[in-house]
Amino acid sequence: MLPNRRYTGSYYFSILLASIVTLVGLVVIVGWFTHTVVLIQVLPYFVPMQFNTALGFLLCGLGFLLLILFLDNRLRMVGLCLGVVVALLGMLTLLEYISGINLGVDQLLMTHYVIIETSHPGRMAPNTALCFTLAGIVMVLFASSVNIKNKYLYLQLIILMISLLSSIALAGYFFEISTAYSWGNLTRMAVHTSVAFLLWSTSALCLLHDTLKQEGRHYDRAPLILFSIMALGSIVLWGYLAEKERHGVIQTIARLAPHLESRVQSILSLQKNALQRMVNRRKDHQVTAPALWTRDAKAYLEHNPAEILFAVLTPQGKLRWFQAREGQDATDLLQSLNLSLPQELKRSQRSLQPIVLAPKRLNYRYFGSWMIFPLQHAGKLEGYFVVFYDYQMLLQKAATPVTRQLTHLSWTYRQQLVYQHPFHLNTSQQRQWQQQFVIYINGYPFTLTLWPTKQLLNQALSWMPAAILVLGLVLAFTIATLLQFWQTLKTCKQQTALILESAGDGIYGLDNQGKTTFVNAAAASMLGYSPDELLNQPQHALIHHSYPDGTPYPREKCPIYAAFSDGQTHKVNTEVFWRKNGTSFPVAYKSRPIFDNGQLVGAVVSFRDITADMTVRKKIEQALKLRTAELEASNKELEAFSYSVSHDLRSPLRHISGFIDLLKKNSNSQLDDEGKHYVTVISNAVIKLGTLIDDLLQFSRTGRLALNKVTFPLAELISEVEEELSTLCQDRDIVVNKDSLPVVYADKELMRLVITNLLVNAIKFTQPRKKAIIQFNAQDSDGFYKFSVTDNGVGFDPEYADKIFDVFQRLHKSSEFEGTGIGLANVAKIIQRHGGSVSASSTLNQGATIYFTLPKHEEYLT
Amino acid sequence: MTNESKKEILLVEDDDNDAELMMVTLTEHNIANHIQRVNDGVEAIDYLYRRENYQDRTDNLPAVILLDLKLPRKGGLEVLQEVRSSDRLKHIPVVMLTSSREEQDLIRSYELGVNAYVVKPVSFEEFSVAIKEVGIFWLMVNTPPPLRS
Repeated sequence: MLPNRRYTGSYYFSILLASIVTLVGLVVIVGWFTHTVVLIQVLPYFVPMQFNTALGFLLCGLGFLLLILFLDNRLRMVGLCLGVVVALLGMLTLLEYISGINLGVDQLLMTHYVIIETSHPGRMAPNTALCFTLAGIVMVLFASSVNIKNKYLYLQLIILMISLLSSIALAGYFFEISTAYSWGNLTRMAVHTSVAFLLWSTSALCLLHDTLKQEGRHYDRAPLILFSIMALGSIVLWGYLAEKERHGVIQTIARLAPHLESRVQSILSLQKNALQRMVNRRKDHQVTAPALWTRDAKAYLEHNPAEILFAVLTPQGKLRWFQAREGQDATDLLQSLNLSLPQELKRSQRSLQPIVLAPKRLNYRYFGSWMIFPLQHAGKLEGYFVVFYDYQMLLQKAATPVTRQLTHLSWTYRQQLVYQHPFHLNTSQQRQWQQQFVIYINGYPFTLTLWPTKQLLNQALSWMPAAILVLGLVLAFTIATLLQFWQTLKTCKQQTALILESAGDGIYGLDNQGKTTFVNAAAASMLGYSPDELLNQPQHALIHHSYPDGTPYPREKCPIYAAFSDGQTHKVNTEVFWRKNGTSFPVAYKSRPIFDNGQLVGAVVSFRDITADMTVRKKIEQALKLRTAELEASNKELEAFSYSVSHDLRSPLRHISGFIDLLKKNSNSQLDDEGKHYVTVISNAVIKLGTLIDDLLQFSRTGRLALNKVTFPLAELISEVEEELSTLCQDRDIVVNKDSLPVVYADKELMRLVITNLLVNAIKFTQPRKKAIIQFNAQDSDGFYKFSVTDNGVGFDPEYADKIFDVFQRLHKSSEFEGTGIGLANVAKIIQRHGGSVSASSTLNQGATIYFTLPKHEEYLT
Repeated sequence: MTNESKKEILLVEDDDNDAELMMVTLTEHNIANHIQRVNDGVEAIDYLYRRENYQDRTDNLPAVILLDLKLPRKGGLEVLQEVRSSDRLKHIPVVMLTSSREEQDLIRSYELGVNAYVVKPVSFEEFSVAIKEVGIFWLMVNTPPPLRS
């Protein structure tokens, strides 16, 4: 991804954060193995970090560290694999939540033993699972080299999502909104889990921004800011709605407390009144019939289950009479009475008012107070009427069925549980929702704790806030992505417009009706229209209506329109376009069809005014014609020259030669030796001059004659030449190797000249050798044959290798080796006329090699 | 067929030196007295049609015309063309004698119906051999076409 990373602060920061996350995971895993609950839970009443969560962090942190350190290396694939594992862990857990099926992921590696209420022991919270899924995706995206459009935008959004989710949970811990970290009644996200996610996502953001910066990418921040604002907005809305619903529940519960209190007080006062009546009746019954009173008391006990025991004491506190509830062993009660009363009796005696003793637990069944009513008769204390009053019954009676439907309740007195409903409690729910009220019963402070029933919660709480949160996040994500796309599109559009406007060629688009959909400035100005005049007009009728000669150009024959009927690109450069003012100009145009989903929807036409081109072309053609004429003339001159040379230069030579011979023949006797020598010198010089002229004429001819190419085997031609030259080397031992030579495609007569020259040369320069070896070779090169002729002669100085093909160039003294120096020049000229090339190499005194190439015939090219 | 003993070679050669060398050669082989030399193409045609200076000559045709290619006034090829286009002359063998090895001359000559084309070698020895053989062949060996009147 990045070949030369610079190591910046944010790079090291992201390494630090990822290390911390790894460490958190590791520490919690150690905690699980060593049963160190502090490490798992931090504080006893905190939510524990599940083992799987810790494992997830270990993998997440480690994998990301690998990604950071080896981003441009193969090791990053390990990070990718870890990312896949993390994402799988998250997704499987989410699947478990959604499907309700236990896949066995939760306690796969560790048995859940921390005692705290949780919906699924060992299973990580759903928001944790979601975060892991996202984190895994981030790691995979980061590591993979697959180029996804807007990859970095997605990465940023996903990372932001993780940090938002964990921030929400952390904020929930701070502001005690449990819905923030606990979704539904499911496992809650632990506080250190949320912190770890926050760290991890920060690390990822740091790395991402560092990478983007170093790659020199400019990313529009608008989508990110929009996403953050929208996500934050949906979180705030969700918090507001959730809190509103929560507030509703709390209000409902709070309203129940006074209601309960008034019920308690009214019941209590009724019962106390009844007891007072009993006291009054006692006074009467004492007079009348004690047995009757006893019956009354029994009826009371039966009628009011709160009253457990009635007793009458002497002013000194001695038991005179008692009646316990049926089936109730009174021994306990009486014993308690003896222990706790004497002090209180004195209090009652002084005030002569009924008093209620402090509530206390009597035994496993009763929690109540002794009520003491002084018995007076005619202003004189006669004793006491004591009642053991059990609060449980009172409180039970106070909670009406309607109340019980709405709320769970518990009454305590000085941390002692007096009464609660229902008997089995969901304490986690209680902790989350409970409200406490202090209510005085008989002047003693009882604590009433209320928390909503499931029924109430179901009525009052809706899915709406959560739905709004999810919807808001999804919407934010979508809109941010769309914004990014829109901006990309906008840039594209601007670029396209810029390209179109700055193009020198005229460009316009056609729909499949042949009407213009767009037109660039160059096109409009060339055609002399304004762009508006061209748009939506049938272009053929407007600018392409006639042939250059002015005859109408039928629309059906228009190659421009043909593009969107046959789907082919049409290129034409022999037509004209018509300007608005009725003039025309020659154009070269190209009409290219536009396909949309395989459907022909129109064409793009680009055209160029080729008036200037044509002027230039005409000028070039004229210049070429002129030059050709000049060349032809000079060629003719040359031909005439060589013609006259061949006739007129040779005649005097012949005459010299002829008359010298006649002189030798007829007047030889009259010449002295010196004269004879002169005659011989003149005669030789003439012959040599004759050869020179012949060679020169030959050379000039090879340059002028038309090539008559045929295919023939080169070896055969060499044999023929050998035959011709055999007289030249009768007394010599010459071996010519010419095996495996190909068939060539060339002018046979000219090639004969080439071979002759080469062989003559080779024979000539091997004269000093006892045995001359001349080796022909051929090499098959791409499109060419490369031939070489090697002899074992005297060779030449390689310094002059490039000179030996020049005319009249001789590298040896003519007294050593005869020749005019035209042979190899002829060879070079013939080979060059065939499209080949020549070269030579040699080591002095060790032979020479002449190379020449010939193009293969097309037939042989394959 | 009237005068069989007087076989003639018509040598059309403007160059005196060449003519002399040829005469020397032919003299050596005793055929020089059969040579009738003219200096250019116009003279050659006059000779053949017995016009101007040649009005008085006997009416017989040469056994062969040795024709130089490059001639003043009327070139060798023009003479050849005229000879071949005349019903009377068209059967006379014509040997082109030239210094030139130019291919175009060679092609043109054969197109016009030359019987032989001899390049004059520079070396006198070779030249002499060539002239001798041409002379002997056309004068002695070859049977000329019948004379038409």
